[in-house]
Amino acid sequence: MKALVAASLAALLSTAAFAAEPVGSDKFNTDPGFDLATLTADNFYDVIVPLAKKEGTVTFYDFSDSFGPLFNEHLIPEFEAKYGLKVEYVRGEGDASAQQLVAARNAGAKSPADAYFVSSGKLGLLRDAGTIANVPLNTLLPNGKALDPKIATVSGGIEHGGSYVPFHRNQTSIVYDSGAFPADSVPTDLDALLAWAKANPGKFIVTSPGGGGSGSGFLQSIAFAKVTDPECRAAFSNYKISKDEATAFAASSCMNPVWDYYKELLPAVEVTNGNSDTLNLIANGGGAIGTAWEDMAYDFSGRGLLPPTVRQQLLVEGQVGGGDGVFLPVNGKAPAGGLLFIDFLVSKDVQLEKLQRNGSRSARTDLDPAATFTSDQVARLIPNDQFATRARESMPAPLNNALSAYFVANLLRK
Amino acid sequence: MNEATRVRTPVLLLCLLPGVGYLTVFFGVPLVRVLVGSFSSNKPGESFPTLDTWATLFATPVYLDGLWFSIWLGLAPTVLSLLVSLPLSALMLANERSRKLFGALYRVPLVVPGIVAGFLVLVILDRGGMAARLAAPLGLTLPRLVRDEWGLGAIIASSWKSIPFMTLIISGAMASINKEVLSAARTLGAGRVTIFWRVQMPLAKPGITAAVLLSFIGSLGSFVIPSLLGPAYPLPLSVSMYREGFQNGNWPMVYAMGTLLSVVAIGILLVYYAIVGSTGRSQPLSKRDS
Repeated sequence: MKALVAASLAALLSTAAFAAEPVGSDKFNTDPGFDLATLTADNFYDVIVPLAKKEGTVTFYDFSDSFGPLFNEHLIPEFEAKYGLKVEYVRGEGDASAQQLVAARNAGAKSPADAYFVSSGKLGLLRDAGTIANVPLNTLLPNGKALDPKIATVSGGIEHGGSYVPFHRNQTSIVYDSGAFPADSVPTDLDALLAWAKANPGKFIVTSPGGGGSGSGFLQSIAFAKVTDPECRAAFSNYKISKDEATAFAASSCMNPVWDYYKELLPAVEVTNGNSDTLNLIANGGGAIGTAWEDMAYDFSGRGLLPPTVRQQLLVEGQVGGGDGVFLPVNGKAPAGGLLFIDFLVSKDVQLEKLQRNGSRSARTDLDPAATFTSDQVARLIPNDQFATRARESMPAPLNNALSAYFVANLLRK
Repeated sequence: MNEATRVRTPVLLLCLLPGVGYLTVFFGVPLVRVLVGSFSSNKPGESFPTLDTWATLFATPVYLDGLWFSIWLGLAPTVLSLLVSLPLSALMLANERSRKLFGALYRVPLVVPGIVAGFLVLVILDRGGMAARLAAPLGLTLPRLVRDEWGLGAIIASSWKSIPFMTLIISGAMASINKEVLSAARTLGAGRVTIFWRVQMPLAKPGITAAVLLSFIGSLGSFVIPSLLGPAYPLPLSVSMYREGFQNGNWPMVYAMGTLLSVVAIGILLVYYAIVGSTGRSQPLSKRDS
């Protein structure tokens, strides 16, 4: 009898432990038409698949520039074949579709999307607008448990408690044209990069932190390397930092080494308005080294938009990375379908396929890229040993924004 | 008020309704919405109305630089286009052959969208672009024309777009000048340059000012071309508006910047009316002279 009671209690406790609990609130901010509180990773498919089939169609919004063919030609047909559901695929410019979601929320209308893939840069704006369902997807989805717990709960410096699933991981890097100079003369740290830029004016292409993530990533990487005071460095991992505190930090003496570095660097470099602008200059031979996103450079190389001699590296001081993810919008028309599609997107097979086709890294901890990639693909990526030891997490988003704004207002503005 | 006036007034109002109604709904209401929105704040809990957003706009050097850069990007292509369009328009009137030749060529940029013009300039004039590759074997290095601090690439692209538009209006204005006036000037001993400066230019002034005005306003609010070809700093207000709205969600600032740009455009419009007004007043005299 005692054993039976103990087993029942254990079962109850186990269910309670895995049941979805609202993120940052005592109640869910969305009503999907089924009980989220009793949904667990264990009963997920039993509960969700029949409901999703009843809904029939999932509307999926995608902000990205480079994932269109992957979704259209591979992932969506695979999902439709697996579950017998139809996916309405909407590709849109990220800023405009984010505003569409916010407008629908403000009007009290149903969300136009059931699953929404959006840049982590938009996460704060969409969360503050109340468009993201506060459901801890990392513990609720069966595939969520394979995700790195830190990455699954913090994105772009924003703590979201698992409501934003990391579908795509990216990494800022330094791209260089190995055809332009010998491999042993490639600058591998910040000081060598500065010296090289001064010796080769206009050949180092830096994305403006106000115009592209590779630029703000480079700024953050310099800050991680040059700010050594522990009290100052505490700000880099303070996810509660306010906008005003971040603005004050950017103007504080803590950041002087970073701004001093830029003051030396900027006269020798070309500053561009965006990530692809930087890569285009490298492709034209206008520059030989530039700041970039690993997956974008990988994609450009694969499509012949960059010379085959272009390679990527991480500076020895380390460089920051981030990622973009999918969330369940509040009050979607097909929430069960949305949840099922999000789970599918972070499944092992899908993440491997994405890795191979787009060079997009994964937050899953059970993938081995080296075993999956061809030698050509490996050459287009950051070397694995560098990725393992030099990749860093981004700073909190308010701090990143404040540093970028300070840079534009005080460094670019001569 | 007599019987005829009583009948005429409602009919007149009815006739005006489509035009006035259209302007009110599609121009007046959005403009008022933008103006009202500029007096709200992006900060939570801030009361309405507030001058907070306007104070931030005028106290932020980045935005003020953006305003001046917007005006520069409106002014420079207009002046450059005018310098090309004026003689081009006069040449087109000079003889039939040049009218046919230029008439066919100058319309090409007219039908090319601004973004295409921007990309054309990018592909040709960017570092490592077509022009740089052609110049390299000759040992020539081209100056930086894209992402340069003066916005030269953006000015070239905007001018490329504006020249046919301006030429179309100015040549139309010049074509409407009575040919007998030009013949009379010639018989009185005026050369081609004198006729251009002292006869064609003054008589075509309303058309020229209209062309200048429309070109300036178009370039002032241009978004695509400075985004593609402009420097990382300063950003014209049109580009800052996009970033404030879509990246920062700061719509009051978007409204304030939009209002400011509109005020600049309206200021230019008033100058235009002042010029046209003075030209209009002198018109009877010139007609009497002719």
